[in-house]
Amino acid sequence: MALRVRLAGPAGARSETAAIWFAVTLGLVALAIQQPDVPRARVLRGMLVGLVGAAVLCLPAALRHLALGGYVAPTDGYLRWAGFVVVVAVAEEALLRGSLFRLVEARAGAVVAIAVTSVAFGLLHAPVYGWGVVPLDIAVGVWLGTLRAVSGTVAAPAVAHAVADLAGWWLR
Amino acid sequence: MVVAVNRPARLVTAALLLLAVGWSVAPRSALPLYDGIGFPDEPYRFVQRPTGAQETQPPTSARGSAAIKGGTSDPLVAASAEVAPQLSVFIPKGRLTAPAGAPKITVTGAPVAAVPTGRGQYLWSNVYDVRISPAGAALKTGGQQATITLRSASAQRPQPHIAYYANGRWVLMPTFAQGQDIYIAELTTFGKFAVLGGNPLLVTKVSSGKSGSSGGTTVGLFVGIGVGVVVVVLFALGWLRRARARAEAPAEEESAET
Repeated sequence: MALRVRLAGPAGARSETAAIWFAVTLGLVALAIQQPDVPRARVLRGMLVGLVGAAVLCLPAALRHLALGGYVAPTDGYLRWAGFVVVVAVAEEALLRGSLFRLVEARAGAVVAIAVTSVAFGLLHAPVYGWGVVPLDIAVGVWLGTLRAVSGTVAAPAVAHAVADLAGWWLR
Repeated sequence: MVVAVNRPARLVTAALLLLAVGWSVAPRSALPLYDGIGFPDEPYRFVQRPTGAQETQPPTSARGSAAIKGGTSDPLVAASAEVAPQLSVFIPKGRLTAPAGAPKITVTGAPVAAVPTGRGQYLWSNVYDVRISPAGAALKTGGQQATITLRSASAQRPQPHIAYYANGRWVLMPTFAQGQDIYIAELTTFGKFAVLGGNPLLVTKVSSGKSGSSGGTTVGLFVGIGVGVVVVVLFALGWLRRARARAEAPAEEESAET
């Protein structure tokens, strides 16, 4: 995160360079930890669970957007933006709900793993997005961790996280 | 067995409750998550463009009206036309009082010339003059918060504050970041508002353009993408190796049995 903040400078979270290096760093750490062998059927089921999880995450924002007649952004630049968003979201999940979750779960159980990864998720976002988002991000982390625990695969939180971020384009 | 069946349901219920609490205490945000990279908003439109800032159209004003029905005001939203809006004001239902007979209340916010700041304070946005009409209309106290949201010309840190101008000085308001360069505060009065930072505004031509790989160099971006591809390939190779080992394992077991 320090690397991301330093690379981003005044561009903050809008910096693509900082975002890609942030994702690469998370991916490398996740790669350094042995990956589990998950059956393909569980991964596919996890992706479906992730879609439901994304719907839950988007619901409050969608309701607010509809109630206030929110701004609808043009789609110029969406694909480029979406590519970076998905890379960052999946990299975060690979490390937090993938490697870190598995390590903590093996030692202390799923509930502790959800708690640890949720706090890490909240703190991870504070330097770029401000401390005001930490309570919500911890709650979102608990939701993503629950998806991981219930589905047994990181595919569920990865899909939920990425889809919710992508939907943000239309829900601002 | 009962525990095994009920545990996921309990986890999901607890997580949903926590999520509801998170939403209720969070800054009034439209984003499901604060993540990925920031939305590619158009460059900031300055009233007085600082050196180095991108040339743009002039900033726009915000205007919104709320009908008065049975003495109660409808919700009011006023937002400027930039992408994303540089100013927006939200006043919930019933928070406005109107003079007798007034059918509606209007709130406007116009970009105006910069107002001098105190020592250690720097303008990170235009100054917006937010007014309410007709005369006699006002904000009521109590009820759901009315908010003012201002976009900063930069996402630099430390986090700035929204401030209002009163009695010849800027008064900092409790402010929350809403993403990367958009800030929100409770609206309790009308007048002049701006985003004030504790250090000089850093402006680059690519700081918020649609075309830019902002923050960092193009070389850094491409090297990052290259290394990212290598990481993905390593993940894929590991997965293939495990899949192959899994496929071979039963065959070995079979041959051992025979």
